[in-house]
Amino acid sequence: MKSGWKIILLVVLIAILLGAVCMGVGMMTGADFSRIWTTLDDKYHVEMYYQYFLEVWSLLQAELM
Amino acid sequence: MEVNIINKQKFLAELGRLLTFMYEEDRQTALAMYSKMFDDAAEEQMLLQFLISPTRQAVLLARSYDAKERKLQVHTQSREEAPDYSDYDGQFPPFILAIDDLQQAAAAQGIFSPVEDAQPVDEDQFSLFDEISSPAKVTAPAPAAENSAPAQEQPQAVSDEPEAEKDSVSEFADAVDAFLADFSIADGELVPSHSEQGEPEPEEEAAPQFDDQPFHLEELSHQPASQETEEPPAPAEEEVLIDVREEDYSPLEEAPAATVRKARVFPLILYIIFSIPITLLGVLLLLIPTLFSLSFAVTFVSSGVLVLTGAFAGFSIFADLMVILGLAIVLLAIGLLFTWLFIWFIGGAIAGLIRGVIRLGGKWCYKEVAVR
Repeated sequence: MKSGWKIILLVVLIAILLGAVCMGVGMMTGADFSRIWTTLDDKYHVEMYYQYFLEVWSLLQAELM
Repeated sequence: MEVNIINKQKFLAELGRLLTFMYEEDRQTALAMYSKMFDDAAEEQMLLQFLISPTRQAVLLARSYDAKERKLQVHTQSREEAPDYSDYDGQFPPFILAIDDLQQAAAAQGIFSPVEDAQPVDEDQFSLFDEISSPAKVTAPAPAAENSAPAQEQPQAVSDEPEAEKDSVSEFADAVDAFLADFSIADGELVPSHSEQGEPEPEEEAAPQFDDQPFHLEELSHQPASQETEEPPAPAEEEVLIDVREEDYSPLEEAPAATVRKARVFPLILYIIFSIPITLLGVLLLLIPTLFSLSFAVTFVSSGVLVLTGAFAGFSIFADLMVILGLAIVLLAIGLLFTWLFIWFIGGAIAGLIRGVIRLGGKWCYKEVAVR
């Protein structure tokens, strides 16, 4: 277990560093977050699911309160 | 006089080092008999010249020593009990008889101090041997007053047949010389000389011939060499007189007693009653972070996979693609961390809690009982 923790933490740290480098490079080369969000929403309907979960949460709060 | 004392001590020390093949009681007995001979000798140098060398005496004792039968006899005696040689097939052990023959031969040559009013001694009686049951006399020789009795007896005991005794002594000395020619000393042990190398070694005082295969002194006895398995290594010079073959004397009572675990019923029942709900509560408490870890792991891993697949599906700008790839890698890394956290909760925390409760119950509710 101890060696497992070491390996996992090392892999996670390296992956986060690599991801941060990639994001940094993208932002330095002119990435636009609104454009990225629009592209992802067109593909996965993120805004629709987000609104759906907000409605469910408000219904639960109204029932439980 | 000081030189004589040193010579005696050296002789006994060397002899004690060479007699490690004997059992400790026998070795102490033999050393005590030799020490007695030195005490009784009129001139120590004469006795040293008569004995020639410790190696010669060691070979003499080795040829008359029956290690297998001595082992059986020694093991029948307790460790605290003084060695009893009287029941050795109705006689004394052969090595004691050999030393006694040597002593009588020395007395025949007038080495011991003569006494006018010596009394005749029965042949079966060894007054010398009666005093050597205590091994402590090896390092602390008896006072001269006590030693005077055997010195009085020995010249008288052998003075009846001096010529025949000298003949037997000379024949025996020749046999020992022939036997010594085949062996030499290496690291305090007798090692066989290579007969195919040419001339045999003249004496052990010459340069010792070392051999890769040490010679076991049991082979010198009349029994086969398979009587014993291993010989202990030769002791150092300063501990030659306290060398003990401990492995041969380990009594049965020193062996670790077999024990069996026996449950204490009432504490065990109480422990089960209390430990099961507490353990279940602990497991339930640990299941909460476990399930949270699982849910987070699933969420992050699935999100990372979706972002990664979307990066190659809908993005055409390199900058946006790099940001999406970086985000996917970070999400997958966090998902991997939560996955490992879930595995650690299941296999480490919860299983460790159950194992600890069981181990604690075994420690509190069981006891070790010796098996009869």
